[in-house]
Amino acid sequence: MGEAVVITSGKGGVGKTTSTANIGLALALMGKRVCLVDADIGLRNLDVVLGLENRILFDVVDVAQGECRLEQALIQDKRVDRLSLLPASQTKDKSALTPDVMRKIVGDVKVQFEFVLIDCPAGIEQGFRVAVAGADRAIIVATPEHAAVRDADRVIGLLQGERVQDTKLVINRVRPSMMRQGDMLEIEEVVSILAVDLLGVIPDDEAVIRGGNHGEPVVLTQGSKAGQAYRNIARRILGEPVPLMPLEENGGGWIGRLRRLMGFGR
Amino acid sequence: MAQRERREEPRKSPVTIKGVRDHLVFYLDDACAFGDILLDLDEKLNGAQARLLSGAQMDVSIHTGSRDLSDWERDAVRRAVSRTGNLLVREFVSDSGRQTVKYEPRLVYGPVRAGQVVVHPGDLVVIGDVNPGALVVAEGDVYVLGALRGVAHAGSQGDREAVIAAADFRPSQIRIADIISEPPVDRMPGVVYFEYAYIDGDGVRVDKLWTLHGRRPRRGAEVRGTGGERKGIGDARGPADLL
Repeated sequence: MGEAVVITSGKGGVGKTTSTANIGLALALMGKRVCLVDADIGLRNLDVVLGLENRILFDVVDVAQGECRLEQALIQDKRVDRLSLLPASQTKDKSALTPDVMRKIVGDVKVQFEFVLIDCPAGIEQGFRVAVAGADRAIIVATPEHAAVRDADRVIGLLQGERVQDTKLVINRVRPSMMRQGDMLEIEEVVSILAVDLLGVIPDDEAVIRGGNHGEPVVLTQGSKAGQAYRNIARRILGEPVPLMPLEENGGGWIGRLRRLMGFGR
Repeated sequence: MAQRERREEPRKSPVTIKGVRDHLVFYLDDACAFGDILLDLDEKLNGAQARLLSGAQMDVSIHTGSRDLSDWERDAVRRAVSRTGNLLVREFVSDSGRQTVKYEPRLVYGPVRAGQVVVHPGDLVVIGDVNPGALVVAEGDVYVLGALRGVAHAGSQGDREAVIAAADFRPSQIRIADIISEPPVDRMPGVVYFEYAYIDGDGVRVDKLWTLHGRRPRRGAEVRGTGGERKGIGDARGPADLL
């Protein structure tokens, strides 16, 4: 029996789908059987980011409504056969699923896979409640901006209400130079406000955009810092104590403080 | 069915609820056993008709007729009513007089997150942060043992002596009684003091916490005695116990 992790943020456009694809792929590359579930019904994206758009026959709503069996809807990744995708529906909307149905589907998927990553839609309404219904844990994605942090904070509160207690934080699209100049919220401050464990920091990287457009998640790109950061997150999920990597060559004093936040390098 | 049975019964029920202008009055029958009152109260507040009483915040006055409740009994009634979440016992009225309810300080463990609201009819202490987008409201003082980044309202029923204090004082907005204020912009960077906001004239000011008692000497008790007498401080429940 695997575990289900919902990847959520409240705010849109902070990198939930990209993070789901990359963390999932990284876990699969490390030998885990992983299924990605796209819960963003009506705004199907995860298949595009993974480059699997052309293989879709059935989707999660078909499974929910009994149009097909779960196995028929699962799409195996073309690069790593341990990775599968359960795509969202493009034609239906978010009212097509209920939390109970989702809990059942995720439960069935968990039997076959070691990790089930659920890509949550933006917002905190029905779509959010459906996406978190079957989750054992949560990963919050936030960018170092006040708006994203506030929405993440709201979502953490709601997750506690939904009895998802184990919540970890990924800070995405970090630009060290802007942080140094005080134009971007510092990592330390984000962690201090949200008061949850930090799972990783992803630097802002053009390779992420390039990868997303070519259906090649950035973890596959050697030499990309964002790719390395996602691989590190996967290793931390598997329990390895990986220290945060320096985001700049001359990595300033804040990296040391960061490591202390995570309990490394004392 | 239930209604017909009640109509046939000549005795009035142990608890009768009436709406009076802006609040509710609970009449507790002084002729029946206190246990029956609690049972009926539970039925009225949580039973089939409980939905009639849910919704907006509402003050409750408890009338006990010729019966004077003991402290324990008052507590039981208050707890039963406050479990609804929106009803609040304000006073107990009997033939021998009227007693206003004073609420103990409440401890809340933070962080109080965006979108969350904490309301308390007495002093409120938050152990942890109050985040941006969160709201804490107290009829007495608000003390935040952490960073206050959200909105705090002290003296929400009009107490202009109430204060808002925080270990790291940087609220997005503060309200004391009927005065609303944005936080001071000219904050000194560097050292963080435990600070509090209070009403001075028509405006809100911020000062360091240790000046609070000098400014408001009638409220609360001071720690007196010499050093030796303070040994028992770990067991004390409040400043009053130290006297």
